[in-house]
Amino acid sequence: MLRFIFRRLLLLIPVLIGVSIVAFLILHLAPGDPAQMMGGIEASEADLIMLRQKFGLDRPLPVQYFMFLKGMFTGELLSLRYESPVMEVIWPRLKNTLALASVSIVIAVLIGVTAGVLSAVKRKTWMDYTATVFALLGISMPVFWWGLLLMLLFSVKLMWLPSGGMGTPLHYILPSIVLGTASAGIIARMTRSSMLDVLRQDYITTATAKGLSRRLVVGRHALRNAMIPTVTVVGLQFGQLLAGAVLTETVFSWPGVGRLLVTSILARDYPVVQTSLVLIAAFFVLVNLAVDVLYAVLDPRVRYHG
Amino acid sequence: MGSRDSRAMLVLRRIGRNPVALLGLIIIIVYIGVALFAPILAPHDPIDQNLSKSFAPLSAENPLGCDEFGRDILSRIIFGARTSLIIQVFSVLIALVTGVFLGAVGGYFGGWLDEGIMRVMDILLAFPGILLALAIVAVLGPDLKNLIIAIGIYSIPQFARITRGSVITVKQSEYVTAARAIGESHFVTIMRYVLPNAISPIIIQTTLRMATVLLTAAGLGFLGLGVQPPQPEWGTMLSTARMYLRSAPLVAVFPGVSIMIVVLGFNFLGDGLQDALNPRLKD
Amino acid sequence: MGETGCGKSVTAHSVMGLIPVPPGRIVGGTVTFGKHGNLLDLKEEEMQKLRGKEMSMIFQDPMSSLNPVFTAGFQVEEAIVTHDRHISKKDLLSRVVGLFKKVNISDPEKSVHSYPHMLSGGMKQRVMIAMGLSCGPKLIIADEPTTALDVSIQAQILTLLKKLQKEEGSSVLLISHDLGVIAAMAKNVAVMYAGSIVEYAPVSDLFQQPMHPYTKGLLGAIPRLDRDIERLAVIPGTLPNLFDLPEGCKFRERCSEALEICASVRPRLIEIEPGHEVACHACARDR
Repeated sequence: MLRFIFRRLLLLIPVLIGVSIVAFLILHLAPGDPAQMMGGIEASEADLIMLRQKFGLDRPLPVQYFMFLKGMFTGELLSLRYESPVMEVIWPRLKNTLALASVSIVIAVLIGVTAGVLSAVKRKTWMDYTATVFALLGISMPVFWWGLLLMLLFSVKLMWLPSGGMGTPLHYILPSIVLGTASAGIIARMTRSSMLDVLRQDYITTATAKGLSRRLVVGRHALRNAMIPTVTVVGLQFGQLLAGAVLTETVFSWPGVGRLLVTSILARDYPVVQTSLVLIAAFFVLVNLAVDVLYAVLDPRVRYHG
Repeated sequence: MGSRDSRAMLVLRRIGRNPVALLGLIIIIVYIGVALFAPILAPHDPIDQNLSKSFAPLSAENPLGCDEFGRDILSRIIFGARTSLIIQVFSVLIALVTGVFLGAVGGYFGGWLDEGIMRVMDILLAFPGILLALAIVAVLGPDLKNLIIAIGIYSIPQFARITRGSVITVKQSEYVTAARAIGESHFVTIMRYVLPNAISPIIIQTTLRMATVLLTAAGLGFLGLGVQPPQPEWGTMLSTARMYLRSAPLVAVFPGVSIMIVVLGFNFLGDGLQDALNPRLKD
Repeated sequence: MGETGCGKSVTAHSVMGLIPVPPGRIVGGTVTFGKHGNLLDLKEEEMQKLRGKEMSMIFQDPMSSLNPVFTAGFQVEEAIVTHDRHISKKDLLSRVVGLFKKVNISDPEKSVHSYPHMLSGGMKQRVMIAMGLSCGPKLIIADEPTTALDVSIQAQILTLLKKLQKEEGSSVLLISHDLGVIAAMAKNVAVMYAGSIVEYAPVSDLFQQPMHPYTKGLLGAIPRLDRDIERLAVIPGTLPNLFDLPEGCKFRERCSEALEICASVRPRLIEIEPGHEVACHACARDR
């Protein structure tokens, strides 16, 4: 098992290097002078010279890349806007985003798996149809619009919940629901179809034939198998949540990395933009690794030749 | 090729029998119609400002009311359909052509070429969801053309992966070996024998991708990084409507409803196609 | 016994109450089981108590009958715990190991911790048998227990079943389309055609003196080494459409002995000789 994890970790290294190269190159692939892009049109010639020097923009690309990598970790890479090391700017906000995304994924899994199991067990009943319609609505709704609607109802009209910011548990309610809605829909669809698949299997008949209650048959024998494909989807959804946070955080003024990313793009704070991209991607890749491990725990067939 | 025609007919028949998929198809047809005939359908010019009618309520003249500049919301939604359709068609086209090419080449030839292509795709996929498109737009600058490029690039890996998967399956079949044996070139083999038989998952992906792409474009518009005003686009409309949420909440409703209906349409059809194109299901 | 699709498995599943509803539905009839009376009148919870304890089932395909994510031992333990909640952990394990020994599973102490994918088909079927035996049921339904196995393993499993049936004193309802298996294993045989029993007799009577034309046809279709015949006899025609059964006798259209009455009245099972029941107008008339 440890070897399995170790091997997967090794495989991540090239992906992470690739991610950092892409994030680094984004600034350089664009047409025009990178210094001009950072400084904006109003930047004076002196500003540009300063920028070129600060980021080594006149040096060869590989050298710049290593400066970027090194600067990210040593704190030498500074945010243009906050003039402090990028990690110091990003890290607290990334924590806020992870907190929000974690609450959302829990909500999404609870709702999605319950709805999926119910609609598979009660297939072709009103319950199944209702769940399906809501799942598809959830998937098709623009996150930010859904956020605006809920905010309009619960914050503006009813004034039950805060419309933005972070602080009390109440602040979590709207953004986490909004962020988790699409994921809940996707998880519900996935759970439903894998559950239907599993319920047709012979070992479900076996479980019933030995006298287990319907609850145990569904809750233990079927669910455990149905969760195997669902786990992969949940992992991918966590990544979607990190990305979706860009929109949700903007709607609810949540002080997370998503909002930081957007404001940094608008302020042309490229060091922050690049580092945020690398960190979010790294988190996403690590979550997928965790999912692979969980997969092996759930499915004994994987462990030995994985 | 008669067999292809009859297969297409079969798929159409199956779609026709699936009420959800049929609804999706109808939504899409109406949507395309609205986009194509926007100048005829729209009661007003979508860009003309009339500050005296700022936030005018729903009326016979402005069925959905007016926005902050007194522009007719219905007309902006109708022209917004046109913007969305342009974004969808061209970005998916970019992704489709590039992704299918990369996936087919990788899957067909295998080896280091495949390995290399797929690693690059992995790296692109490591940026979840909207992020890659966001990053690209951030550098290229927000306008319609760059939005299409950004969304196109971020959709490439999905097409590459799916194409590669089905090409690998098809490659092992005997008619492909036979095609090579009678001396067909690699190019002809891929175009004539491999791709046509690997097409079902690509069609499904294209349909579902149209939905995702619309949501992404609207999201970028909402962030102010998409289509720039005054050009009418649903996401951008919501972005400004958000500022007046307290005073004029209705302005925020209609663009969102439009996005949702169209996205639902593509998801419905995609879902139905998944069943209809499934060869294991008998007619 | 009976050919594929004649309703053997469905009958067995109905006895156990394993027919999924919907789409399935039991329209009539009774299933009488010892002191429990008609099983079809029992509530689902009462049936649940009988399943596994009083009656158990061994299925056709051991490859898919065990849950891949639980160990073999756990799946047998589950059957025991369900019907005896107070058993201690230690007793439980030793009982399962004992059962594994009884069904000749190699290395039982280790095998209880194995996942199904680590066991061979024959071993899996032994696990299923151990599960079936675990609560000492009165009735074990074995639904074509060897069809999915290699020929060499088939014999082992059948011998094991026969041995266990003697030792445990359970009744075994063996379902098979293989006349050889039936001849070797059964005491009494019910022959099924298109969903109903057409003949019921002790095994020797049936093979020596088949009465129903369908049974005769079946027996005529076995290749035999001790007789020299040109071709195997075949039963003409095919099974009727089960959703649109003809009136009268279901076998009439394929029957060489059909009478006029066969077209309108469906024959009922009647005892023609002691212990030998047949559902056939022609046979009844000849007596």
